[in-house]
Amino acid sequence: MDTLALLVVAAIVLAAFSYALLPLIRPPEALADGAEDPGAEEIARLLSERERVYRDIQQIDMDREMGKLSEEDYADMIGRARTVAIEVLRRLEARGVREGMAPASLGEREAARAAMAAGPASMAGSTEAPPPPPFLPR
Amino acid sequence: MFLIDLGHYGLWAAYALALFSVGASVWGGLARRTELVLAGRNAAVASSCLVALASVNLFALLLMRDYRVEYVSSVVNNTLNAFYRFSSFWGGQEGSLLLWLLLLCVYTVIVIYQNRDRNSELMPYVTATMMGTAAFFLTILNFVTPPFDTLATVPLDGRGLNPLLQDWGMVIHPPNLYLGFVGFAVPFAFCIGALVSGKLDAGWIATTRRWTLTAWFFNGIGILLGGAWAYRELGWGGYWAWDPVENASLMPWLMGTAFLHSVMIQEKRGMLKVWNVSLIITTYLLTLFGTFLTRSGIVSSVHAFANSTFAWAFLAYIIFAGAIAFALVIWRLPRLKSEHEIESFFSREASFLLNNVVLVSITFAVFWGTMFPIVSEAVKGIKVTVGPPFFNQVNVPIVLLLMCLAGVGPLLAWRRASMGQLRKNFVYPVSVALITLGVLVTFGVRHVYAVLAISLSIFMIATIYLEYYRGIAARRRYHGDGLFSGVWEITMRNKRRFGGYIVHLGMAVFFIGVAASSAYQQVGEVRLRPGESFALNGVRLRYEGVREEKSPQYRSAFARLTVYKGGRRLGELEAEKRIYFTPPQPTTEAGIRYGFTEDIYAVFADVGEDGGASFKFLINPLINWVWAGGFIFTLGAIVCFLPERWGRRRKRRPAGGAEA
Repeated sequence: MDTLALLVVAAIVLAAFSYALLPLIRPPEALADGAEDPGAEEIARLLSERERVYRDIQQIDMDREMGKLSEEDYADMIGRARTVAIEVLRRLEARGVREGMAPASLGEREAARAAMAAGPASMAGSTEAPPPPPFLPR
Repeated sequence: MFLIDLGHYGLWAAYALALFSVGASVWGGLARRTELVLAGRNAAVASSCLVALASVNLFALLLMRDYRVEYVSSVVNNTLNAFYRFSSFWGGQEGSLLLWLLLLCVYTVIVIYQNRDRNSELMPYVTATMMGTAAFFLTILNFVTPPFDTLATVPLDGRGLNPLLQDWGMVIHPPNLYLGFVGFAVPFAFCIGALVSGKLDAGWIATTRRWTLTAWFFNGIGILLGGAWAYRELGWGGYWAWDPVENASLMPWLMGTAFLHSVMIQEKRGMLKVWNVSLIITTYLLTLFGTFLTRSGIVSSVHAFANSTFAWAFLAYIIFAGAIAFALVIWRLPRLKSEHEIESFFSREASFLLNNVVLVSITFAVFWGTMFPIVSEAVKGIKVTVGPPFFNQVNVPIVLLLMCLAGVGPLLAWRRASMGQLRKNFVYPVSVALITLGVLVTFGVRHVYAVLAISLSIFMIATIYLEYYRGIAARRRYHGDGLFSGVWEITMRNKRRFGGYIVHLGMAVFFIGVAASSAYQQVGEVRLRPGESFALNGVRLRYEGVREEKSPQYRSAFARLTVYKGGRRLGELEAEKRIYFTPPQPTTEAGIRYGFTEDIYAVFADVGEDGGASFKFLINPLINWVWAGGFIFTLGAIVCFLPERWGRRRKRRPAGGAEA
């Protein structure tokens, strides 16, 4: 190997090792860039859980619409999913993350839509945005 | 020498960094020392960069035909064009191992970047697992088959790439398969992370869903491209021969399919946790096992590279990785209990569970058939090879059951479905399937498996149609959507479900193609003089003569044929025979006339001095449905892969009204 090649190879390898060992040489606080924030991680987990439960509610609604669930099963399943959703939203609120109410069931959405169609007066007293119809983004 | 040295020492430095990354990550994770975790992470990134640098160097050496490097001289020669010089990277042992490592490193860096702010409890072990695998490959590349070894005497020309690999199919098939194989390392690493850290909720599954899908998709496409290559290039008229190496690529895909279905049960119901971790561990081990089969030469295969002693290192690593992974599962068993029970046999989770059992059964049957020669030799001292009849006899009935389940599953709700609803949901698809069966029998289709497979495919398609119909009807009721906007909206708002249905549709089309082309393939072998004809299944092939061509790499003889059907001239067909100069090897380029209902396939074997030529002709009914199924499968997988919010209409609509 000629000298120049040796120097270049050595420099590249040295740079790679220096990058790997940097956290051991410098204090981690200066390197972490906020990566190790357990609060933020818990919020991210809850947000992902919220997405999941919203999706579940949507699927349950859809299953009923497509004739796969009896009204009794639907009420039971949607009730459970909403309980989970409320719990997730409560925990998110406790961490300062606010958002609208838990997704409503189809019947409630229909009622809300009817109320909305009837005019603002019928919505009086509600501080929440009306829940979206099925299959629309929340 | 600069590129050679940089590649050589780069791999050694990458090896040291990978080992350091494993140690620092595990120690940092267990001792909760951030600086060690970060050092492990940085070492993984640095190691990956060095592997990428070494790979770029090898690509450059291949493109420049630097015959000082032993590997370059073994896969490249003076006449090989740039396209195949590029793909010769994975044309031999060292390069294909380096490609595997490169993809693993790329995946590792992406995973580290994606999770820089999340999954902090899992990530040290994820990094350690990925880098542990990388360290294993680096051990092989540094100690056993170094890709940058040089020759004492530099040859003027190289040995060249295996002619069978000089085909576009072989350019893209191996990287696709490797993207799949290596991709399964990501969910496996997260599974190990979850087991070690004790975070055994569905979080790791949600994090790796797209990774699993990516690996599964590329594995599937890799298999299909391999089939397309075999169909065009090997000249026997089929696309799947239950060859051990083909089986080795199929097994992880089957297990990955089972995993993709069963994780939905864990996500939705908190069930099957032990099953899911076991499935992904087995899938990962099967990807390594596939490599072991390819390299070891323990089973005869058209694909096997060579008898390599290092293949046994693979086996040792498989046993080591499997032992650690399953020991972790046993250790965590108390925390892997299901949160719910299956409430009813008539529920989607029950159908998914049954589908899992069926997929695992097929995997086991394929594994058993593949390994039987070794088992028989160990037990009786005689190597008994089982061929396609065994695999077909065992697997076809199980696949029919799988198709039935794929049709039934979408019609069932989660948790339970009442008998009344079941009756209502099943009347239409079952009727359509029975009508299909009746029509097929009436029109003389008597092959039992073909009749059942096509009827069940139609059943699958009917259930998917019903799902779309009801979904669109629901959207029409509430949103006034038209047909096309309804299809789009319902698919985009439920990508996972409807993307899955599109994949099922692809599989149904695929199975129709497989059933028809397997059961009703017509074969004829004949020797013809110029001007003579041969008739097969209503198709007449007239042999016109031979023309020759010469290129820098090979000499070709083309047999010209004119194709007639029902007295009408359909066109011409040319079947080719090539003789490569370096390495000296004949290859067959089948002449294929592709069609919607059938392929006319001609293989030119040899030509005599009198101009007479030997041919093998095949009529392959509906074989293009196999590739069409693959295309639909790809579309479905892309839909599943799309981001959650992509493609949705953003406008809110006024209540009960038409489109805003």
